[in-house]
Amino acid sequence: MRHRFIALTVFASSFVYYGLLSAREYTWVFASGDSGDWLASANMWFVPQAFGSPLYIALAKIPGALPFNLPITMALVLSAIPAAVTVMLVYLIVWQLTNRALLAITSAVVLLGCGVFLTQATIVEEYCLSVMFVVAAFYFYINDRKYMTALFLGLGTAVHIVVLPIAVLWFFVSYREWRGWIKAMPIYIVAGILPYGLIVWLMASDAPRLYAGGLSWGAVNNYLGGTEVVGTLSLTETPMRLLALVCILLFSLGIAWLSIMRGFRLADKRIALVVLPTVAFPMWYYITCLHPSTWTYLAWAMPFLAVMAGFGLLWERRLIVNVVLAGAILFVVANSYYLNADLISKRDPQALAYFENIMALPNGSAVVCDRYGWRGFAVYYAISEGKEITPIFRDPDTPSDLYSNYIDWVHEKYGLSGSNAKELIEDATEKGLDVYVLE
Amino acid sequence: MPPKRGWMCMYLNRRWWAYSGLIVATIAAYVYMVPKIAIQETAVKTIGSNLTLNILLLLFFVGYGADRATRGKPKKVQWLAWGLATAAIVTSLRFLL
Repeated sequence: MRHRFIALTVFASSFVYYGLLSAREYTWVFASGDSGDWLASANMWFVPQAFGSPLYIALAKIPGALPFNLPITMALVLSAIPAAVTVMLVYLIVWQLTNRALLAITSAVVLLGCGVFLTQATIVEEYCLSVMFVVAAFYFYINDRKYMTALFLGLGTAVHIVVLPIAVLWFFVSYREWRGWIKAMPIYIVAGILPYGLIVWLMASDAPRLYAGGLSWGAVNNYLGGTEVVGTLSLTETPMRLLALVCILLFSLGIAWLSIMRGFRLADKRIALVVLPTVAFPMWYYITCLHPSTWTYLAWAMPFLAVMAGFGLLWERRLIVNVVLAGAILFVVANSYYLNADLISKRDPQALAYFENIMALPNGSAVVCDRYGWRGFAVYYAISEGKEITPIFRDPDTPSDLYSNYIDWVHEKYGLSGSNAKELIEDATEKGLDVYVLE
Repeated sequence: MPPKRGWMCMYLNRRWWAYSGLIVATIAAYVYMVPKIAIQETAVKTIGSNLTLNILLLLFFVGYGADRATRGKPKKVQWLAWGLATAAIVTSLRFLL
């Protein structure tokens, strides 16, 4: 009973902490330029950025239906609550592994003070929801409940595709139990792979063709082929990226690292073998990915490292436990100022100003902008909020089936003709539309 | 022999140095990295890539790793390792196409 009460307290206090720090308005802080795409997904059905995140866009309709300010509601419902549940799950896992409440609380506080995890828990992003499912899968994994493990790994995959390689790695490291995993695989496929049928259906439907739309082999290939940033970081840049990784890991977990390393050394092989790839994969991704903001993927690693910290403290003196706990509390306090999404976004409300500029344009005008990226996503969000503008997307660098599908759609929906942005602009001007260029 | 009691032993303790070093490194990392993290998307700059070098490196490490890891191991394990190595190579080729 006391144990459950502590778990609930951990959840409640984490939620309050994340809730207080969450950005109240539309923001691009912590490299969250994707937020416009997700906010638009809350308001309407369309194909968002690859690989579609079907479960996330489906759940996004809940905050989208509530009569509150959308950015904060979505940040609370789909980032802060899952993050707080993850902190509680870390408490439960460590309690189960060590049977010591203090160590479980310490691990939970280590995660609460973790900078990388905090940044994703306080903005509109999909990571925390997916992380919550993976950590729940781990909870069932240590309890040897394969079907539940497969179910939650599947749900995590349906939120973000990066869980697919993590699930495959779990399968490989647990190959001795392959018979049990094969039996559980249909559950994983139903929960994790089949939901992506929603994206295929949206491509085939008459949903707005903003990021993607129009179902064809070429269009799907264009849509999924936008992953050229993966594994392509120049080797000459690698030392700096490694330095950045070390700094991120240090400022996120600090002195808990000694206990984490001890945890890996002393943990049961079955647990360490699953934790290791879950931690290593996001690190590999960040080190090799061309895009520097992929540090956000480290959010998947953090709860597992927090678990290892608690486990490593099992053999430590009380003094060391107290030192690690104090360090984590210091992080909680310092982050509440230096990594406060609400404070930072209010200090520099770039996204909100950009969005308000779009909303201030006259209805019926045409807007020339990028098809994706933070500019394009802001336009999606404005359209989803009912702004009557015609989006004229700039030409892609290479010929794209998705772009020609967009051209067809803009002709059908807005009556503009042309095979590229220049011709669309000319046609819009001839038809007497005001044309604005967004930079 | 380092002293086992008294305040001096603290300074000669390896773990004390480890924790002290970690605290200093953490503070430095916090000061250096937090301003780089707490930025807007508009400030994120993508840097250069070199695909060929990375693929060559990947092929080398995967092949070398599979070979080293399975020397003297049962045939089944060797097949598994080489299967994984092939999968990694095929995946990396996807970036060339």
